[in-house]
Amino acid sequence: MKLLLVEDEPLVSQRLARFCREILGEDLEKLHSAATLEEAGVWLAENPVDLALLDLNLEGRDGMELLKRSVAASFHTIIVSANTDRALEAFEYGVIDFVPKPFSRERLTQALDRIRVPSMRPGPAARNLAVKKSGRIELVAVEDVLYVQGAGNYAELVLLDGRRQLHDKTLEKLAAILPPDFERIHKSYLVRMSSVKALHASEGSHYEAELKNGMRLPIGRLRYKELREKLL
Amino acid sequence: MVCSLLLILIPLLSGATKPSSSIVRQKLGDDSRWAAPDWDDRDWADGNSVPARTGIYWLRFRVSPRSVSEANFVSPLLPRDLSGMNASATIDSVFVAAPVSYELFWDGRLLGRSGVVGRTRDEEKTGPLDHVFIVSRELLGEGEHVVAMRFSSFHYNFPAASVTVSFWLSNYASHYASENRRPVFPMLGLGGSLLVALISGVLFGFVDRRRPWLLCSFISILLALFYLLIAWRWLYNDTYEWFCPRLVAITTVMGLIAWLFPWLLLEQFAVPRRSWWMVALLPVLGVMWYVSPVYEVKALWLCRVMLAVSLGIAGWAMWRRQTGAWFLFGGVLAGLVLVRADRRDFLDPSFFIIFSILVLYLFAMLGVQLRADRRRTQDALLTTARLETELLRKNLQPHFLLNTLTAISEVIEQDPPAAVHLIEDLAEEFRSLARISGEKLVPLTQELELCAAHLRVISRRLGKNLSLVSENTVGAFSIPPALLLTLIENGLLHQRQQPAAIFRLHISPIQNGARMIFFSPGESRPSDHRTPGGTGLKYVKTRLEESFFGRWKFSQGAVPGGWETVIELIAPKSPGGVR
Repeated sequence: MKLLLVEDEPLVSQRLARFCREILGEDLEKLHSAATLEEAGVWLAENPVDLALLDLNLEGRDGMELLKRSVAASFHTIIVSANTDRALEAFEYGVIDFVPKPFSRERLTQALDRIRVPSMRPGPAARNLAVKKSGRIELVAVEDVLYVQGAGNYAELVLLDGRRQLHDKTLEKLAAILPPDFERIHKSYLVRMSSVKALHASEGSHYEAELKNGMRLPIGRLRYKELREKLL
Repeated sequence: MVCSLLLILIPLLSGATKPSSSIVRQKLGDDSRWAAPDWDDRDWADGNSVPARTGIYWLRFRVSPRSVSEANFVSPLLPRDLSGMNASATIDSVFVAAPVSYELFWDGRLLGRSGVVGRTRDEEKTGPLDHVFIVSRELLGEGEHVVAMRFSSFHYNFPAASVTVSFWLSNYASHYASENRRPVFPMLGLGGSLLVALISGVLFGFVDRRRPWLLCSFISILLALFYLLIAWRWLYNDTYEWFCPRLVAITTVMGLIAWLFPWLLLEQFAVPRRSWWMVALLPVLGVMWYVSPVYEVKALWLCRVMLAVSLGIAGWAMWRRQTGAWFLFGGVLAGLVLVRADRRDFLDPSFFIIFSILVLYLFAMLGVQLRADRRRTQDALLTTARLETELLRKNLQPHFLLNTLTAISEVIEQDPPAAVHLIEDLAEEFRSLARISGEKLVPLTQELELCAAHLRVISRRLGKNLSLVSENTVGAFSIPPALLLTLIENGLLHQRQQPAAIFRLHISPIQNGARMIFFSPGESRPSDHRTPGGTGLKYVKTRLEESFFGRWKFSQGAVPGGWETVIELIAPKSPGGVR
């Protein structure tokens, strides 16, 4: 796992780095500490990252803009902050966890396990997804998303009104932060189950999910039975 | 006043009156036969204006009245205000208002006397100024009657060389009722003015030490005195030698009111160069005193000057759009148009109604200002409470406290002795904060201790060596609490300090105060914008205003290597911040 720590207080950054090394052990491929946003940006431009541990109040500035930029990126975000009153808001933006300061090794282990163990979903699900558009960060309400289609290292959000938005996160990473209503029906599709009208099976083990708007999406052969049981 | 005008005009238009051709005749000397109706007085001099203090004089004139309204136009009797009188009532009395001692005869019969007529000052005894003599029914027959008066005026103390005697033929019942009503308005004015004077005085003494309250109280006292002197004639009918001192007193009071009322307006509307105007007004009022030998005319011109100046002030205030100026302008203008002299009431009562309303209005305006001041005080108290809370929040805010605790957690595990130092520094900062949190001003030394403790905590947290050096800060000097601490926090927030950086405070004296120059080291953070309305600056400016009430200046800007804040504090007249 490749980690980026964004924390302006040396002692806190030192503590985070020490705990991450102890918790992740050999799983930790690379760890970089950045004290400023600019430094983090430079690092991210040249280095792929799986997880960012982010202080919301970096250099005394409000971290919401920083948070939006982080959750719009391809990597997961864990907030480590003293501003616990922003925790719910952070979850709504799609962070994996919010670790309040001061923190213990156990609490940080719990947060990192949400990444390492896919079955451990975060508590509150994201309500918004941040997408990059024309150099700006825009928020897309999760309730407006019909399904998500994988596109290599990216994912495409298909909205109820038919518009499509490209997201930097992979389908797997989005599955970790979206509400439980979203199911993986195919290696390339994540669908809101409440919008599924019917399941169809045709010759040659070809399965499809019919959405309420009439659109049909393919279902993976191994997932059909599980989905049918859920719908019944 | 309008009624009286109508009562005068109606008989004139209807031609109901027939002015007599009779004239007053006068003669120096003394002979009891001169009272006789058939005495030949054709060789006597004409006129009822007689040389004063020269001996015994006789006056004679003929009248043939039927009703009060007709008598009102009979020469040489003076026209009088008939308002409130029954104009058609039958004549049955003679009303004399004369500053002389006299005996009054009707067709040779003695009607009565006022005082004792004398050939010398010692021999003369003064009588009441006003007198009503009943004329019996048998004396009031049809045809012409002869009125004669024997009098002396040795106690006449006006500067004028001659004395004028006034007669009015009257109906006794109607006259009695009219005279009894006359002091009612002045007495009401007296009571109202005393009340306003008392309230204004109490407010000035115990609540609000602003000069307008004191002026309002003085003016109301003078107004009350004026009303009392006016009413005095009907309340206590003095002997005639007190007539002149009373008129002098009334005119003097009027002069004082004429000087103080514009002063009240100048203060109320905060007109610049007030003392200059007040001094300039004095000679103008002095000139008005000599404009006429008649006291009610003197008072009239004093009053007109007062109103003209007040009109100018109210006009200026209107131009400056000050609250209440338009009302005062209208009131003063109405007063200026209406004011006129009155022989017995001195000045027209309608003028005093308007003037009393103006004084009451100013009184109400002061009350409104007092209420606004109370609200400001309440707001200031709330601001003080809010600032105190804000000060405590500064170091209890989650970001500062929880980051410090996180740093302590790490240091405890890595370097326990260093953790103890960090906890001690944090405790010192909180102790300093607790000492100053309830104060409006704190000694500079205490503020410097707080800043030093804060910088030690921050230095340990950030792994830097930050310190504060103060220059020229010897001596007692007080500033609002956490003023420098806020400037340090702003510096830490907006600038990036080198691993070793020094904040600097330099204090230099200026006229009646001190100038503080605070240097915050470090380059501004990229894309950082300091806003004038930022939380830190708001705190600093509100604290300065709370303690220095507009006698402070604040400026700031980038300088090579950092950011500079300059604060100038001017010492208040009473003990305050800069000592």
